[in-house]
Amino acid sequence: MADGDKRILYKNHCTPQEQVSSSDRYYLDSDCGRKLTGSYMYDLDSSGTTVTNTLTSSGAIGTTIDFIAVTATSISSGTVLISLDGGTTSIIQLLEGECFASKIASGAEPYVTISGTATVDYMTGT
Amino acid sequence: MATPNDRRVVYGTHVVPQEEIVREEGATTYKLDATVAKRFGGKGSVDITPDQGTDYWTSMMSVGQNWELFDETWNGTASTWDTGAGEVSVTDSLAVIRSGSTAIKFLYIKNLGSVECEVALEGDERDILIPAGAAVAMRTHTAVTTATVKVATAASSGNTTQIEYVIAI
Repeated sequence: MADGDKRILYKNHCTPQEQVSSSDRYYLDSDCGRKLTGSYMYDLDSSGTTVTNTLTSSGAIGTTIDFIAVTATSISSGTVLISLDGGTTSIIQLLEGECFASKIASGAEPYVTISGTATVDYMTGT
Repeated sequence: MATPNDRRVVYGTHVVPQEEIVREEGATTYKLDATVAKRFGGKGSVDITPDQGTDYWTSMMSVGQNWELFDETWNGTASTWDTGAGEVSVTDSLAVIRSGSTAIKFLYIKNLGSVECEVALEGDERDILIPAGAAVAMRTHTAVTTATVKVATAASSGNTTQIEYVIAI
């Protein structure tokens, strides 16, 4: 590493929960039994770059990217969907305030489909 | 046991882009990446089906789970007989983790091993990469079903890794 070299710390976690009857609170799901989390420090190489942008209509995030983080900042109407094949098959949905972050294959073609009125922020690492 | 009245998965993501600073005496430190200039993240709650149909919807085996009520068979591939644990082996060949073809509402996969794990959610394109220790969590769209979620290590690498997962319909 050297001055200006970049890295990205990302964490994804989830907590499955169950509600026994309609008036109860939600408890940790008894099939799973614990909270789940994973984290990774992704070191970009010395020529690594990051990019950030905002989308208000459907569009490609880029190509030959190694990392993406996409956040649905606001959704007034419609849906926000993400595909990794250039927009052909949407595989991830974001509701307002949700984020998807992952390393991706360099051949993936991340694309955000916005139907309605929404603002989506994203960053990439290469 | 009876099926619960409701089930949900609360999930969150946190991303911090950083860049290195080398100080006068050579010590290094990191600051927020000036190009991005902000953290990314979010959280949500995904309503999933109360009756998942099988305990195979998660690789975990809860410490509160009764042995005699466990759906899995003794030689099932998707569990370890150890409460609190949940490891599934993955080879370099893409493999479906949860049988059936029902649309998935939420997906979480963590790589517990030491080599990178690859995930295909449509076709056999290994577009999502999970380094050792990392995890992915997402609200999946209708095109993703139990039959389309496939996991492997790098093709033809001969490597194996272990994962834990939640594949909720």
